[in-house]
Amino acid sequence: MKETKYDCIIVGGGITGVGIARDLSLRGLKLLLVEKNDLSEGTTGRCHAMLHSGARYVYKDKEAALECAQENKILLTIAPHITEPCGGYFIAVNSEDMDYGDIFRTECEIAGVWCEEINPQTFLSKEPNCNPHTIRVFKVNDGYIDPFLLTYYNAYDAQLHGATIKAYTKAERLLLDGDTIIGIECFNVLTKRRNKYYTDIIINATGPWSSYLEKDLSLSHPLKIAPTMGTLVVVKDRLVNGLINRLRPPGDGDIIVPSHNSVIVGTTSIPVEYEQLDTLRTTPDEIDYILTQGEYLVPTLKKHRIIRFYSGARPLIDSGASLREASRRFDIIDYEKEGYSGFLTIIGGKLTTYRLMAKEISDLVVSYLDIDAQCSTADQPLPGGDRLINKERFEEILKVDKKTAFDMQFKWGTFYKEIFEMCERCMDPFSEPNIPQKICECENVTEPELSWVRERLAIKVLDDYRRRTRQGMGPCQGIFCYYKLANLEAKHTEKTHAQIMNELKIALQKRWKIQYAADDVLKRQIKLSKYIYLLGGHLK
Amino acid sequence: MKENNEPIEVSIIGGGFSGLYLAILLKMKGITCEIFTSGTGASQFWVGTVDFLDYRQNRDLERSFKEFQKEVPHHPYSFFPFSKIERSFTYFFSQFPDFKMFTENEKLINRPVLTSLGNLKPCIGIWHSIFHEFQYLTKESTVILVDFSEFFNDVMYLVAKNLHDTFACSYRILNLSFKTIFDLIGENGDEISIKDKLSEYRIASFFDTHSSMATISILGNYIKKEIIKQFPKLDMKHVDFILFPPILGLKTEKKIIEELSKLLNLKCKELVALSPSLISKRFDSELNEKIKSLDIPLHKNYTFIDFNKDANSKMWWKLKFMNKKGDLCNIHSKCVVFAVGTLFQEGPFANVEDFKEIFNKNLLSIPISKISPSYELTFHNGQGSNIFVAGSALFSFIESITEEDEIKYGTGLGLSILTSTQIAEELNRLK
Repeated sequence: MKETKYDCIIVGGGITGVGIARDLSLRGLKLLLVEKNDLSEGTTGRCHAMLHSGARYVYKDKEAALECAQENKILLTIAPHITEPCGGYFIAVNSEDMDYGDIFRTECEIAGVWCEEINPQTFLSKEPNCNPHTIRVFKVNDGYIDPFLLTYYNAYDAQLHGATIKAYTKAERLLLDGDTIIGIECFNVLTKRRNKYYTDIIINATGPWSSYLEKDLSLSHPLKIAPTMGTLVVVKDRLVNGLINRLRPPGDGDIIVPSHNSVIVGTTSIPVEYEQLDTLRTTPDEIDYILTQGEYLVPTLKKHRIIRFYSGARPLIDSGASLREASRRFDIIDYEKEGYSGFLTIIGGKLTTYRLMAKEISDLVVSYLDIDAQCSTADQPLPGGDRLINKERFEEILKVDKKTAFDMQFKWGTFYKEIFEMCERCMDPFSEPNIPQKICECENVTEPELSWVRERLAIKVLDDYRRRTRQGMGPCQGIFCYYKLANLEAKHTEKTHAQIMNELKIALQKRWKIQYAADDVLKRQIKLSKYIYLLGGHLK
Repeated sequence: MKENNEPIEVSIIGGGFSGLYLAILLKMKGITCEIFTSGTGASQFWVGTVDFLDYRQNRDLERSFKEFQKEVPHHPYSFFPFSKIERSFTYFFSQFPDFKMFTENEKLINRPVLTSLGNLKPCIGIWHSIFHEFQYLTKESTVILVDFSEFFNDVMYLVAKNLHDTFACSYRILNLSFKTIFDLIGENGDEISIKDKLSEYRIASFFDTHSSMATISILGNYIKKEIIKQFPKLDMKHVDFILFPPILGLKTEKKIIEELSKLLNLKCKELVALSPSLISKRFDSELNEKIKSLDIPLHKNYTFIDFNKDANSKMWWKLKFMNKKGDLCNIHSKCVVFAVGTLFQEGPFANVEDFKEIFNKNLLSIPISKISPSYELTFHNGQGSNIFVAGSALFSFIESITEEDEIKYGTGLGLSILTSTQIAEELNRLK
């Protein structure tokens, strides 16, 4: 077999990894990215989906706060189609919060983060579901960002510029030539094949899993990672228009983020061990605690149904400080000082600042490789993000209803043209011209969108559609759309029936796995899902 | 409904298949009963099959069943002798001729049918029109599957793939459009909205009102023309079956399918579960008609709240319901049957702790480790309580049956039939 050598190999397909992949491929490097699951399936996909204004960090980490404020602006420009500048509020609901307001304002000023105090009544008229006893409000520039599509568009752009992206490919061990890292051995979990890839430099961007690759090196100071688990609860109905933060130093359960047709409430901070990273378990108490805290912000929160909850692991380095105080900035570890060349680890950071992280490490890589190439990610829009395409355009061109158009507006941007062409192509040849078939009724996902992501955003297995389109993420959690999706997979791919059934089962099990901590309503919903697929459909 | 002074003989809580079938059996034995239903349940996801030991591929059901009894002795099925199981099912099939029972040498057997995922599921009987004749499929066979472009729930491609992979026959997908059909019949296709969710009911009921021979022949000619247009090289001699989604009527589908078979000179069949809601609607309306013709009172939108020993008589129970308006209502009853399904979610059943509490305060410990063979709950002192549990609700009352068992060993209409039969016999004995 012909050996391909890459300029750089990135391990980890979270936002950090794909951000670097995009940055370096725009600079003309030939690179490979490997990810053990699907892209964005780790910490990236389990975040708050929050585009930080920086205000949350002014109190403890002004440097990180300012970075957020700057990156926030850049992301709104380069990715208008997957960000929503809905604005955020810090609200005081008691006298303690009230007193923190003055500190907050001063800290924002020092950090260079914009905030403005507004009248609580004005606030309540905009956010009628929020606590009527809100006594002080600051408006900030927080927003919503789709962490999944942010990842896929970065990866897609990298691919357009020559990068190779391999999902479901686990980096198993580093290949060494003496003290130089020359490549990596990978295992493809779908084909069950092992392959070796060679390169000049490897970037370890595996977040909380970063210690794994270090195992092949003998180090005097191995990474000390202190992953903490943050749990988020998705509650049915879009209860707020903007992001609601509690006006106090960052703590548990003090943010509510509007996301499509629901809100995400969080979060917590619980230390976990490395061995637990792949199977983080949320407890019912934790969920209740988050919602109890969330009730200070939106008093009716518990009356709304829980759709789902999930836990992600923060990639924090153990600095001995209390865990929430651990820096939200990031670290780049060069193993040169340990005597190994060709290996870097990047760890920490936030979704909002991924681009900046990618820039810093990419600068290091090009200097390492002695290439003269500048970062251009701050000016180059992400694929589909040349300009914001408003929902009326989707309604008009794709002939979809208002709700679907609204959801499409925050997904596809200028790709609407390709989706329209897809729309004509995926229609049955003998049917009348028609509106696109809605496959997922909860999240308003249509057949041409699914076909488009299949062709453009590298679908491997059935579960991959969910992260790219939000199919199955809504209140029914896929009960009434997974079989339709499986049917489309049978229609459009060469996969066998048995293969599709296997993928369907894996996809559904990911929806069912939260049953152990679910409340009675959610438990019953999962049971219904099992009834329909396992009993009715005889899925074995 | 006003509070009753004279107690009801049997109150059935739950209007799913178990509750309705039990009511019919009781009435036929001359026992008066009334049904109280909140209006939601798992019955609407029924896929047209009568399941019994559907996890077994073995055709010898009697032997399978004996093994099963040893394996899962606390399962609600395990109290039956096999002869009684056969009797209960045979009686059910005799009462509802719209079902087809699978037998071989007069013995009940399991046969595979296609499910909503294109999988094959063994069952002892199906709704009449559903395709099950796999034994006729050969390598030379061609099966045509009809895909209506406006019918969003179809899984024809999954079914086609499995037919191809499992039976090595060839299959073709025929694309048809309801809009064209409506236009050909002379009705405005646009009026039958295809955008909203109700459309499948509306389309199905459209065929109920348009099932004249003239209409069917228009439909037949359209299908003929489309087959020639879409498969110009296909030799019709090799076509064995043409399979439809279950949407050509809710009441007249039998007639339409039969007439189409004659017209096209092809075996026309329906595919199970392409839309469970349509299949279950058909059986549900048949059951409801029977309930109506037998004059059994059916109280809709009654949510069960609580129950207590009646103050007037130690033998009676006082049931508390809430209707849609939020009004409370007390019902006195001699016997009570909980046929509330396993997915129940109304009133105290919404929360496991509340559910336990209302039984425990009546000296009935819930969940129980083992239920009596007549599905009657017993008091702490071992005496019968006149409270029975039917259908899949049993899984929530029996502690030793886990959800995994429930999924593995199956439930469904088969369980409803067996438990309702047993309870009806027990109540008849007590009478």
